[in-house]
Amino acid sequence: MRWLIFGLGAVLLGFVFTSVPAGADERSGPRAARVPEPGSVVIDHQRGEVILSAKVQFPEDKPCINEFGQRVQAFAGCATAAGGDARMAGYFVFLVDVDTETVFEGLMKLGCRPRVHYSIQEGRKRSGLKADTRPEDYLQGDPVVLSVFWQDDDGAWIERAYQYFVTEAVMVDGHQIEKPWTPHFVFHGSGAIHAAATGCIACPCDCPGGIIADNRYPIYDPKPIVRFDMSKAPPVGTQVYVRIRVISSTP
Amino acid sequence: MVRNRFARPIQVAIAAWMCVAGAFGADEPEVVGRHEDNIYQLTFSPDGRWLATASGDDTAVLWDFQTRKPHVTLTHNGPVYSAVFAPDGKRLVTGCGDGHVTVWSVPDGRQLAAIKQHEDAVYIVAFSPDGKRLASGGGNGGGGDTVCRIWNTEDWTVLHRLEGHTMPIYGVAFSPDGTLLASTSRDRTVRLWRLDDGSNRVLEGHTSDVYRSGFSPDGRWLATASQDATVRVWDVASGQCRATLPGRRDPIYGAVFSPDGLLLAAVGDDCRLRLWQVPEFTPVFEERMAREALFALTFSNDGKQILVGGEDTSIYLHRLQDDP
Repeated sequence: MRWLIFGLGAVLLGFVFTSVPAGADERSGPRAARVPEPGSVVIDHQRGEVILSAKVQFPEDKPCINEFGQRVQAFAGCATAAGGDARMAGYFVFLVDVDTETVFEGLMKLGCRPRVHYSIQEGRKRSGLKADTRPEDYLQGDPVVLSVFWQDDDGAWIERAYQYFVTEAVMVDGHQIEKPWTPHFVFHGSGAIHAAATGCIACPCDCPGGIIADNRYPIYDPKPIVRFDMSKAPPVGTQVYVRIRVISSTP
Repeated sequence: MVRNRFARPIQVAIAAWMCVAGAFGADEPEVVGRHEDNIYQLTFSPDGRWLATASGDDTAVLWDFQTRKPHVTLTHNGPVYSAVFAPDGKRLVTGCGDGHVTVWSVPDGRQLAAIKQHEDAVYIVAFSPDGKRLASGGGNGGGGDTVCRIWNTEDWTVLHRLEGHTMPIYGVAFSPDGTLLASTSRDRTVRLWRLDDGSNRVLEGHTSDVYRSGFSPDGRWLATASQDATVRVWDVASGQCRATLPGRRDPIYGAVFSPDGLLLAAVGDDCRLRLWQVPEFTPVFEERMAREALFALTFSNDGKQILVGGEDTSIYLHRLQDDP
């Protein structure tokens, strides 16, 4: 009888593993339950997330890479956008291998919705924190959470929040002090809706060039002072996955 | 022994390098003016007195280049991507993000005409050498209105619509004899249009968006700048690529020949100005000029100075020295 139970259990276990989609790692647990093949995305309705395939690159000499600065370009972005090469592809640390529009569509399919979106041109007109700044001067949309995961040399999965790689600096009494990066990311969709062609996914300021922005401040100004620490990222060329988890405003 | 054997060649190489470095200048670039947003084009008037700049701050500015002071600011309803002087120097034409081509009187800055024929942004305008025609091109990020227009500059009507590009047009340039127009596009191609019959040749080779372009003064070469981090030099007669000049790995946004045709200059996303000697197309100078991406460059009419500008909104002047 005991052997029968064991045998049945083994069969059931085998069935569960063969049901996992191609590309999944059986040792990894839920963190990497499904990963996309290069050039495709996973849209997981149950978990409310989109997973993108990406490679790590070192955007040497670009702003905010290993030194504090301000930039509009995302740290994670697509190699292609608006039917061609992404203009900002050289700025990304995590270079995603599908176009921005595909990422946009994936988030939309999960019920994630943009609310205030602008072309770059219109965004410039609304730039800056001023006495007459209005709520419409901030890009708006459903909140999202980003993380990046990859396998180490031993095959173990490592996952880190997007914020993990970045440190922010603020001025206090004339001195620059460091603090954790605390962006507030929203899905505004502008880059795809207005065909900005930048390729940017998640920008470290309120910028209508991408599709997700940190909208703590109004468009473009002020920009948070941030530093991406390349030593926290996996080596250049590593296959990584960018997870975007949505907080959807639609059923 | 080994040291002696190689000492002479090394000395010669160092001397040659110092000569080159001296000849092409090592001065710090001078800031000659500023905008409040990206600078997309810089152009000198034919007499060299005026400098026109096109900017994302919705203005084009006419500068008195001698005093370095803005003479008149031309206000638009969108980013100004292009500003060029007519060959007689009496008019300036701008191309704007709102789709307008606007004609201004020089030097008083009076608006003479503002015409909206493009459905999307106008990224580039260029006068024919005789000043009788103007070419304009544009589009939007994903495509849009990708028809190149040829205008009659007397009554500002559109004479021809050149259709062929499938993505936005970022650059147009007339050949020095006025018989050809080169157009460059996000569709990765360069098209050489014959203006007598509207036919065109497609020059393929760039592997990404092609930005601005420039003919050599003798019309033999066409240089094109691209997102693929190269400048390509095309033999205009054969349509063959004569040279592929690599930057580092960043997009190159602009490339122009010097007025005497002996130098080719380019700028791009790595903030550097690069010079190559013509016709060998050997690199002779490279220097970081700005803190952020450079979109535009132009030689002064005497070829002794180069102005560059871009994302950090400053106009930088670099002097080319005659003597080592």
